[in-house]
Amino acid sequence: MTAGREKRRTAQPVQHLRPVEPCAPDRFLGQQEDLRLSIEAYYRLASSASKDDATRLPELRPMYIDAESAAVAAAPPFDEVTACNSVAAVLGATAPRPARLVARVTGLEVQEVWAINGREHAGYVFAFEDSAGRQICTPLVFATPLANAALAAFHGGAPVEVVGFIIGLPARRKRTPAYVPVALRLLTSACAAVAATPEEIAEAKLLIRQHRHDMLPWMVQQLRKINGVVSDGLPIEFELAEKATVLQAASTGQLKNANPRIHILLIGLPAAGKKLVAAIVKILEPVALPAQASTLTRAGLAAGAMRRKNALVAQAGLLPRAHLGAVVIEDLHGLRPAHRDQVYAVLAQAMEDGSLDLSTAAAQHFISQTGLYFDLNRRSQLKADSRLLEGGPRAMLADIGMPLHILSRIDVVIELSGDAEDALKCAMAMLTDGEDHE
Amino acid sequence: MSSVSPRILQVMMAVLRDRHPEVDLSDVQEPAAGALKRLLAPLAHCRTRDFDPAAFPRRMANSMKKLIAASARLHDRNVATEADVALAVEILEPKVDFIHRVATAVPDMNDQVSRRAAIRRQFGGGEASPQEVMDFLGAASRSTVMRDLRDIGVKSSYGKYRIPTEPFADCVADTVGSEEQEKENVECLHRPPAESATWVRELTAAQISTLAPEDVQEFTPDELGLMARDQFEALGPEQLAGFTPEVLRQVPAYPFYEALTPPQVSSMRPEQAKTLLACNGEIDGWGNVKQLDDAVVTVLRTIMSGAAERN
Repeated sequence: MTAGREKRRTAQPVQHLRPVEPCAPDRFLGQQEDLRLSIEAYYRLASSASKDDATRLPELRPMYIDAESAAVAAAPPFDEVTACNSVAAVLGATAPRPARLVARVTGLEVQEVWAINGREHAGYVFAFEDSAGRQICTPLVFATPLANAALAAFHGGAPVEVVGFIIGLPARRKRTPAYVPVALRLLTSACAAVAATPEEIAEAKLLIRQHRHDMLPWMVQQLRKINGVVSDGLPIEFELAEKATVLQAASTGQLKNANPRIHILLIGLPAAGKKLVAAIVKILEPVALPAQASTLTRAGLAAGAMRRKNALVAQAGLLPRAHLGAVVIEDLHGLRPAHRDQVYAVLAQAMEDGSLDLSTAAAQHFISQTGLYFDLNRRSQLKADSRLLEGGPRAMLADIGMPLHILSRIDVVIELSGDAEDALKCAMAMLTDGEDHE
Repeated sequence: MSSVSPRILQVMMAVLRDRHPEVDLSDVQEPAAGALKRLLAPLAHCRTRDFDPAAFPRRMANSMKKLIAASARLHDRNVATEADVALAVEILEPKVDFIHRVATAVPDMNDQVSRRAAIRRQFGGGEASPQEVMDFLGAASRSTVMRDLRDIGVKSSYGKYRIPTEPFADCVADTVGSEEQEKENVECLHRPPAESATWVRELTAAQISTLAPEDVQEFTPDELGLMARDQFEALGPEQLAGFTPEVLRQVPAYPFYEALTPPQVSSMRPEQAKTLLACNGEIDGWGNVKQLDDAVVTVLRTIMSGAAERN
């Protein structure tokens, strides 16, 4: 290594980090400092990788200084593309595109502390979990502001939008892709959650301007085309369910201390069109995670404990991972009786508060402003149990298998009762319009 | 009309959500409140023992806010209008209908299973007179109610019936006559009262004669009197003749006297009659002094005198 730079290896647990600075949403943190130190991390890794890479270090050193200057020149405001170009210049590689990641911080550890020119710099390794549940670990990153923001997000249970770039790290004569975070901000924007490009946003804005006065019927019509739903003979309840689902996708931030998302329950016979409505949720929501009721557990919904090294860490379940989006739970009647109470307890908290507090071994708080879509068949339609047909409130609630406190929390309850004549008309239309239908 | 890709629809919703994170509802507060009041009116008188819709109004108010705001946002507005309120009401109506249906659902009184379940739900864990049950059911006849009460409940004092919260397990006598059945018949006396009441009718005098005194005293104090009373009501004269004096001596400790009728005691043996007459006036398990019915005493004395003449 260069003169004047000494390093000492330490291993500190995450709680020994410096006090967390307030993390302002929608604002890049660290900025140029993060970039410089991320490049520093690359140096560190390159130096320990292979002989070939090590010989390039002297060449890289002046370029690193240039890159730092370039990054400083690019701000403010911090420009992700310029930052990544600067990195590319340092590495002598083609310009990496900024890679956005909607994820949750699941771990943050101080791996090393370097003393550079009399100042101590901690080298962190971040662990993220994306909305698909994939674990992403970063190489060593020297960026304290970034680490503080990540720590705040970790304790706050909020998902973050991470901006970074993917580089090929030299490892055993191969270049393994690794994700280097440059900036990190709390995820509050639906556009960020869908990772919309500027072109897509421009097209969307144009369509909004054109259809702002008849948005709901226009949107429903488009969705029917996409899902192959014929308009003839549709029951009025199905149309209402379509509208409710579109409104669910448009629900956000209206209630201060509660989950602002709309929750929907559809009850209906088989082939009543519940799956088609579920398909709308999957199209419109930024994140729509499907769940089969027969496999639902509390850990799967809220969070499970995962052993990492010598500690238990919480691994987010479906509800936190679908923050700002929706969880689609189909065939709720299939919920296993052994898990019913626990699952409903988790759902009740998520529907009411928009957050989940786990007091298990891996205690954690998760923000989960997630919309819920349920569909179910009446149990009396699926099994011969005379008690379900007794009549009376309790028997009716037992028939849908849902306790009253959950039913009251669901905003929209629609029972799809198909009229035989309408169903026949619909079936005829499906046969004659020449398209395939599910 | 040209079709748009699903991705663009998704981005449109995201743009709308980011553009209007909050919607101003101040202009529609009054119409929304009025609409909610009208919407909830059917639920106002739906409170029953099984269903309390009190939780719904506050949560429906939140739902209404969410739906109105979502409608305004969808139409690229940050101020809600009355059209948004109308749409919210349209979407919420099916929920109110559903809850109303649940709250006001009544059991089918022509169906025995539904009717008995309804009686258990309403009176389970307590006592009810046939008149109270008839008032509750509305349409059922007295004989139907009496039959239901006899089958699902246990006759208690003051002409009332104790109603259990859960149905008793079915005791289908499809193995009558077999050894297994005989064994089960005796075991039946150890079961909860009303369940065994239907079973003691199947017992033979020979089976009853195999009972030991502790078989009768098996039950907890709460079930004690009910058990004996219920069972003895169901016994026929021949069955009563099967009791040994040792077992019978245990019986008067229970409110047994009320249950005995002259036809029942007519087939008793002299030693049984002697035992019963000797126990007459003892304090029962409930702390009340019970007297044998005069007609029963007469029959018992007749048996005794008949035996004395023969000797």
